[in-house]
Amino acid sequence: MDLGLKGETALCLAASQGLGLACAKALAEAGVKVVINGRNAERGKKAVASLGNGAAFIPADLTSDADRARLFDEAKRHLGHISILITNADGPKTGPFLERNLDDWRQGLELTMLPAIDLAQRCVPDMTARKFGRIINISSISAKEPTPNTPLANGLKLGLIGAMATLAREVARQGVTVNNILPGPFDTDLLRRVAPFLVAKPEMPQEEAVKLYGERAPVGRIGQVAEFGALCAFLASRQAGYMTGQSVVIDGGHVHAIY
Amino acid sequence: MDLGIKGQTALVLAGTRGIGFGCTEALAEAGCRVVFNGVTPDSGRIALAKLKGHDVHYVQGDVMKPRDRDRIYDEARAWLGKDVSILVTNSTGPAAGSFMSKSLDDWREAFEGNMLNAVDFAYKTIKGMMEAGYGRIVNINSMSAKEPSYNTPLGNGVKAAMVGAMATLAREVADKGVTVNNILPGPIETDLLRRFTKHMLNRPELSDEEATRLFGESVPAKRLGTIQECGALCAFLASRHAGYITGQSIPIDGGLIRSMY
Repeated sequence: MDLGLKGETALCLAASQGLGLACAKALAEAGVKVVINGRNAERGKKAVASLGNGAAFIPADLTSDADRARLFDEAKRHLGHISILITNADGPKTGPFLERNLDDWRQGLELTMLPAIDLAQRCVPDMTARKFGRIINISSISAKEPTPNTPLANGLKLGLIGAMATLAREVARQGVTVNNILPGPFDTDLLRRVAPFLVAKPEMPQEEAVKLYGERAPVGRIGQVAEFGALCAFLASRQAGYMTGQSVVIDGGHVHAIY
Repeated sequence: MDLGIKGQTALVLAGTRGIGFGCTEALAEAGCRVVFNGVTPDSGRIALAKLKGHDVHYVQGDVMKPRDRDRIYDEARAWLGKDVSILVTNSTGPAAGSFMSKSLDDWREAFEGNMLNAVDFAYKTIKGMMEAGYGRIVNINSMSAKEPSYNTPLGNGVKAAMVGAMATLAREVADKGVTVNNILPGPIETDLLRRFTKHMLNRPELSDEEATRLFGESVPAKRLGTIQECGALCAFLASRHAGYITGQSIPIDGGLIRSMY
């Protein structure tokens, strides 16, 4: 399928590894010129080499207001305009609700919600002017079915969905769509880190917990990041122009709710 | 129906007016000893006059401000003489306006005032509830957490965040006799609604009265809901009968939400 994205451009946040990088790869393969961001320059360079198609890496800490402003300016300079924004973030602190404090929640807001909101606000004017734009937020199934021991992510990722649902309706007439992808268990570092909490066995070795978590999904395995990238590229495509404000689950049947 | 909560201790946030007052009144009528707070002493006096004969206490304070929250809790605990067993969280919604018009500081403020207020009081009260083996947290949220309304991105976002946070808490304390639920009011006849309706309808040129009337007609029930109906739902969720309902978000909206679930 030709996604109709040749000559388009994308800024992918927190995309030097894992799901973010998978999105960048799928977009680059569809002919999109991509800027990826991350904190680790070494990892960024390696990631960019795997992309081609004029891709660039811009280091930035997404929790810093100044870094985000610089990231946007540099990305725009490199790309000319930004037609696709993929937002992503490191997971906030884990552990029981009752062990977190209000400052944990405040930090969670800065990490999980505000970077996506800020970059969306910066990118939207060009998107609406060109009558084509795609904002895709990498969320989590925990925004739909809260997982134990990840109260910050459960709360704040749902908060971002509420915010983005509003933006989706504001820009729907201008050819801009705003959607969320809700991944279940995928083969990433982040999953390895939180897996023991997800299976409610904090003491279990990470690899074992990952396997157990995967087995709980009806499909019996964790997802491959390339599968995730493909969904992202589809949502960014010309074909997906009538889908907006949606939260699409990709989880091997993990979520039990019908809707 | 005897709700089985006579003599229970309740704290209702922002409980002098609107839906919050509906909850204060319903819990008081069910025999709870109720502390409620509000920002302006006038609204406190008016509420107290309406609640004459009930075992209630007003505390001045703004739940959006962390320091006020500490004081409200301390005063409530002192007046009650024991731990809070029923917590009703509520706050005035953040300012309306488009997503694109809001600054990051607007988001921070909305988060502090309309989400962390509830989280803060949950932290303050939950230990006592768990020790007693009985507790009820009822969060007055909004139907916009389920179906986002136009021009209220801050409310849509932070109220949804609260649902996710409280859903997690609900499961952590479910085996301790503590339930955590959210009420999602639709159009209820309050001052807040009168102010926001024209934005929700995306027709800022309408007068408040006209917008409110139009909105009422657009609801399948063909009318706005009352604060007494919200209070009754709150009291039921706080009751002994509702012990197996937890982590839920229950709309009370006259059929306005179109989504089946």
